[in-house]
Amino acid sequence: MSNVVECRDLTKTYGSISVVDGLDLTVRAGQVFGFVGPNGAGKTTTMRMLVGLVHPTRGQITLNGRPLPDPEGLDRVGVMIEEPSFYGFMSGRTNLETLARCGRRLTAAAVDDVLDRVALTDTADRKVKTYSQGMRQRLGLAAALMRRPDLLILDEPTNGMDPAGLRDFRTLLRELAASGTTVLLSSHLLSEVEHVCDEVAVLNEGRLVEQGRPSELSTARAQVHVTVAADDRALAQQLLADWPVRVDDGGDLIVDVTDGRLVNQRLGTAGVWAARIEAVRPSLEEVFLDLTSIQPCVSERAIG
Amino acid sequence: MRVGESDRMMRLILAEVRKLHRPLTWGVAFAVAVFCVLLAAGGASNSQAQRDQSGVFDARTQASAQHVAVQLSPVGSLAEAAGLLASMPGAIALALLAGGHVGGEWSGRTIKHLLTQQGNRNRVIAAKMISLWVAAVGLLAVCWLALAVCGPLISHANGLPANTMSIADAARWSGSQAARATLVFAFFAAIGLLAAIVTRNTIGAIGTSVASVVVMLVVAGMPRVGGSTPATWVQGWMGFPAGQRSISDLPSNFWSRFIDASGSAPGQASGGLDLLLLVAGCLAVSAWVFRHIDVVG
Repeated sequence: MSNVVECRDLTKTYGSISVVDGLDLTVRAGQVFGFVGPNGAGKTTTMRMLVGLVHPTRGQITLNGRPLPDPEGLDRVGVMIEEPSFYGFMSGRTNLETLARCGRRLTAAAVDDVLDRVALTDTADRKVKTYSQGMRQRLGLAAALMRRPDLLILDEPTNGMDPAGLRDFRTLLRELAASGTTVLLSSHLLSEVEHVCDEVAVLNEGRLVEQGRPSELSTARAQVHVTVAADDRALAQQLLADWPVRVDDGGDLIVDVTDGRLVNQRLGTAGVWAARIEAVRPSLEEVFLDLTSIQPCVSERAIG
Repeated sequence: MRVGESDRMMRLILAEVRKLHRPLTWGVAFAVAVFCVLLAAGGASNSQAQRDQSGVFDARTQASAQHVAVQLSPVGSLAEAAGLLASMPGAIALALLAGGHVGGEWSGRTIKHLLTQQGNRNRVIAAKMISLWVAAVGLLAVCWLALAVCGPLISHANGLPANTMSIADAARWSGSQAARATLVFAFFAAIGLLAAIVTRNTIGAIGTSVASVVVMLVVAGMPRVGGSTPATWVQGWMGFPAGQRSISDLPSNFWSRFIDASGSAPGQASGGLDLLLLVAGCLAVSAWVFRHIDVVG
């Protein structure tokens, strides 16, 4: 599978502040790639660099095999960065028609097709200043999809969308992925990312902290919860001492190992029979919080 | 320019011109047209007031009133409209349009959409410049139309003498002034464009453009330096008479009255060449700045 996005040592500094710091990133063709991180992690700046809105301080970017800067390469990239903004004095349709004239020539039906795809046909002739935030998001998505891009870059695309909009968006992403479109998606809705993304990159303070399939990220942080009789607890702790073990409030042993069979074998061999052995995988949200954890403030530390 | 490239450029220009179909543009056009008509009414009234008690013009005021009648004729009013728009009213109108049309891309955060659809920033700058210039030519047409319709009525209402200039002479004069005005429009548009790209917001663009023109006029009034400055280049190129200090007649412009009459304006050719170089300079700086800035809003 070829790489659609490749970043090497991508860096952006403003004065002495590094917003993105030596980022290496690869997105393969046909993937739905999630980009997560706390506010200020550098996600939006990275996306802006990918589409030429922000100039990197250092590093290289290759999009669809072509090194940036490459203004013509944008013809094959659909973009929606942060909250979409349009000309409020124009209708949704006229906005798209005007934007359509700004790049590669499109078919006459392209605007109508994309309005239909984002379910805005009925309101397309209303002035954009009367649109709700969710409708603007849909229009932003329409602008990004208008050129039938190979690569779709979406920054917080579901902000302000209602549940029906979220459902439609999820369906749309699946359709796009099925048709071979590569999607680079940034979102704070981690459950959403976990469900739709093939691979996830976690950014923190401008650096890539972790990258992999959501299932891999959570499996790597799985823990085994063991319930044993109170009399066997001390012995079980000794038997499992090769791994970090702690006892939770309920008396269960929490073992920092990903494979429950190893625990079962160790206890069984010594004749300690557990009432329950369960490998618990954290959600992507828990992985995210673990990877990007911020030190507690002074007062919290003093209390805690 | 290759066929595909010229097609892209042409469609981008059309898109930019389409964006100018907005309330701001129509408001500015209306305001400028009203200004021209009110000024014409005031000028004609002043001219009429110069008649003696028996209601007769003397030789000097007769010539002056005849000139006003020419300025208010359907053909001659093109020269009047060109003179007004190639001076302060046009500068302010284009500052407003540049603020909304270019600076507004940042204030409205629409610049990111524009640049992700068209990543070639030189093309974007060129399209913005051309569309502003087209808007200025449109303003000229609107003002001409307003004066061509109202001018003869105003002339008649104020009892001005008959227009003695032949239609051919009036057309030559008007055509020449209108053609010259287009370069001044390019100059005002280039100032507005540069101001918008440097300030990156609507209000900043308007304020900086207007302030630049005011500074130009102030500098033109300074001893020694005032002889050859952008303001006097406009004056020389348009052939505006020096130092029109009173509105006893219909003024042909709102520019030279702000420049000290003792300063000598450069000739037309020299003024035109200097303006052309200034437009090229403004565009080059705008393009350089625009290529190097980050779009973060």
